[in-house]
Amino acid sequence: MDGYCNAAPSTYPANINEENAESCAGYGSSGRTKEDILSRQAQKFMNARQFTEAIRLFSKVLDTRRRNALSIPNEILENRCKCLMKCELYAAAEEDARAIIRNDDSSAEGYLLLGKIHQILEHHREAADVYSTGLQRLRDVVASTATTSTATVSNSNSNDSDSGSENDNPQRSSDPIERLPSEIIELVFSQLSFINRVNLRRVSNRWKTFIDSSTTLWSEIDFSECEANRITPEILQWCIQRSRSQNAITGSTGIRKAVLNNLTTLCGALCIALLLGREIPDDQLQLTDISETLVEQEPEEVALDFDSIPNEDEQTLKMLHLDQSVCLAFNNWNTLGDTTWRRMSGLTVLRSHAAILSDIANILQRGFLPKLQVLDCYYDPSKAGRCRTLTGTGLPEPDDSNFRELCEMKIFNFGGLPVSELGQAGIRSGRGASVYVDHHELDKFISMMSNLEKISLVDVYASSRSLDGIHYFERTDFRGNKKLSTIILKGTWLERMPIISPSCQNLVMSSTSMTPRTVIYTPTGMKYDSSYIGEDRTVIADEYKAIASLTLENCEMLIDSKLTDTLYRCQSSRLQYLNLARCPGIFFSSPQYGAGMMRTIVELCPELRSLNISFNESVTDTAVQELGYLNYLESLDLSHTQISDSGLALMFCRFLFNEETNLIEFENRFTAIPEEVRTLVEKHPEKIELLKIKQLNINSCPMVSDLMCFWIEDVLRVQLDCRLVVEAEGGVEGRKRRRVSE
Amino acid sequence: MVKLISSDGETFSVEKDVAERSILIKNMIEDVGDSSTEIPIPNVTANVLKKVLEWCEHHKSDPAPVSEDDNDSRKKSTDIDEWDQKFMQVDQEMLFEIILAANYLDIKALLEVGCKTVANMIKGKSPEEIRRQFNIQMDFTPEEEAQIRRENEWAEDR
Repeated sequence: MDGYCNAAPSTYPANINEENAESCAGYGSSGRTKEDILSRQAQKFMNARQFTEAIRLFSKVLDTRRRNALSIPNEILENRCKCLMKCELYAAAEEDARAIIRNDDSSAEGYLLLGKIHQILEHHREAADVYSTGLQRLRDVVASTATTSTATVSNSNSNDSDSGSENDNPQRSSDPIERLPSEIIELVFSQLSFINRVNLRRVSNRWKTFIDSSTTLWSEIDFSECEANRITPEILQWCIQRSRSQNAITGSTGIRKAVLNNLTTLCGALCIALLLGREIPDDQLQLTDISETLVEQEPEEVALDFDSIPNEDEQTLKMLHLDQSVCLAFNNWNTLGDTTWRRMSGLTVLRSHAAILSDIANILQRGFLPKLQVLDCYYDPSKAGRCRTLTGTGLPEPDDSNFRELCEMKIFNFGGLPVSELGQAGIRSGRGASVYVDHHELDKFISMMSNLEKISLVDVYASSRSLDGIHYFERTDFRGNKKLSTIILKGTWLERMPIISPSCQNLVMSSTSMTPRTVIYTPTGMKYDSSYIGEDRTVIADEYKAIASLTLENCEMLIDSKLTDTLYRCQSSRLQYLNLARCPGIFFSSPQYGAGMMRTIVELCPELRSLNISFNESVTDTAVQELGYLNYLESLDLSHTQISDSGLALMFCRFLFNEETNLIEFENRFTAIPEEVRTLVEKHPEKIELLKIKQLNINSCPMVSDLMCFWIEDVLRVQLDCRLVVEAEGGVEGRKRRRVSE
Repeated sequence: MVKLISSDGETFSVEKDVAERSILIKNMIEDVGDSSTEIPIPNVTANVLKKVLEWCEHHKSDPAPVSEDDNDSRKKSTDIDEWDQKFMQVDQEMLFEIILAANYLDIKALLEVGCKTVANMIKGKSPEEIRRQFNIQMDFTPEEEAQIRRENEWAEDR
């Protein structure tokens, strides 16, 4: 009899029955034995997953005890409660859980069970209450009594060991899963890699059950240790099913993190990414290093079961980043299948390699990704050579009935990494550009995004159409994008200067050989001096009206007259930021015309807050003294120019004493002026407070003396950024040190 | 000095800061407010308690563990400090007892060392080796085994 009851735990007694147990009990010497046998049988049914049988036997034990007015052991209540939960009899299970807590208000198991039931029934508030009460109660108790939870958990893992009385049994198993509580086993396993843990399924039934029901394992899928090309979509799906079965009620995967390297098919990876994307924070989804060779399968071959996912109107994947290897590995994004793209209907940010822009444009044209607001198609020329995209996309013309407006699109970044300070090259006809597009296709795509707010084209070369030997020149017209406020054309060549939208506040045209169009004056009014055939030459009056920030850095082709025209067409009350660094075609002063150009700038842009005229040989004392009339100037960059002490002194003099400038007889007094200004300022210290300038860069100006630097720094005591000539990095401090050592 | 009494009645006299490596004991001392009372440790036998206290003695001046809200940065490293490695060279029975005691006494660092030790016994081993290591019965039917082998094929080392 005893032998039967102590049968090896691993053999599941499928055909035990209650009569057998009762007949055993009949021979027992006391009621306790009968009860023991009954509960052991029940336990066996439970382990064999015959829950209804188990419930019946547990109930029998409990009834007997109640009839005999004996205490109700929590262990049996717990077991019955678990079985009831398995049978989805939650009301009864809740009764048992409450009974456990009534019996022993410090029973961790009781609170856990009750909490879990609430959770399953989606009474989340109640569940939280139960857990916190339980925790509080346990904290109260922990100091004085030993908690029983550890013991309980370990017992529930072991099949037959009679708790307590058999503690000294020398035949103890050394299987850690049997010996240690499950939370400690989780701790142990958390030290192992995903793959290592998956392999533990093969050890034994007990280990397999433990691994398969581990929530922490399946919530962080990581294939990075796997051999390349072994993971198929089926395997991914298998993992996801495991993960989902931990959350049978909500059907959600619960996956928090996934490292999906080494995938065999890109399509599978993408589909899975979508499944996962519903749960995983953006930064936790890595979709990289996908093998190039295996991606050439037809997408249809990968049939993932999307129907198994509960349908939701709102897709939750908000941001998708397809990295370079992913983009280049798969060359038919457009044909990926409607289901896939429909799954992404919640996407607002898409970042991808520039090479797949044609496909993305088509996908957008077909009406997928309706909520996309930010499209970032970048290209890193350091990783690969040139890239050709947006060619022959077949996008409809704007007057076509199929033409689709992408009303949600706000930001379009295209081309080289926007972080690069200057465009990679792009100087002179954009020959150094790295992304090549068809100009006409680009224009069509831009006009689709009617509500665009920012466009950035970096290192993009757009070439014109050539049909039957005839060149069709294009001029990009941003006027269709009525909300466009920022236009960045860096190292970009669009053949013709685009027409800027009247809403544009921030125009950046750096490192490009495009320049604003020259205006000529005719008896009938202003006209552009050039146009392509058939284009109206009438000057578009409001083109630059809204510009507040104008960057023309490193524009080799920019000359004085074009700059004058441009500034003339800007609204002087709006333009506050002007960057003319590295413009060799601009002569701020010249022996012939003096400070003519500088004076023009000061007159046309009296409201400037920030001016950069660095890296220009023509910036001399003659030019810089004019800057004193810019009363609002806060930031000034004069680095790498030919200025000297007297020019700076005079500029400061004008900043401070603008209305009393009759002291200026500049030509004869090169050396005296800094002294005079110094004396003047010492007499009127109150003037210093009027000084607006906050930032002054006179780095690498070989003609500015140490004394002038010290004066600017010490006497004026404004927050200046004075970095200086001779010592490359020493700055003002370096100069001082050098002087002291001399 | 603090007096600890093991489950089998043996008394251990240890310095307060050694005993307080255990959060459980620390809380008890705080609650009692008098470190001279005897503290019963009902779940830990003398031989295990002795071992645990040896560990506490060696680690008494370790910096207090920083609050562990950075659960994600949990290191997968199974590196164990040399002294700890030696300390853990005990039979499996004792190892499990130490882990259980560390868990009960709430000594996070010791629990971690224990878990890492067990993890190292599992890491990189084949199922067969693991079975041998822990004396586990292979209880799959041939069909079950074939099934699991199929399911796990992709994860196998080659």
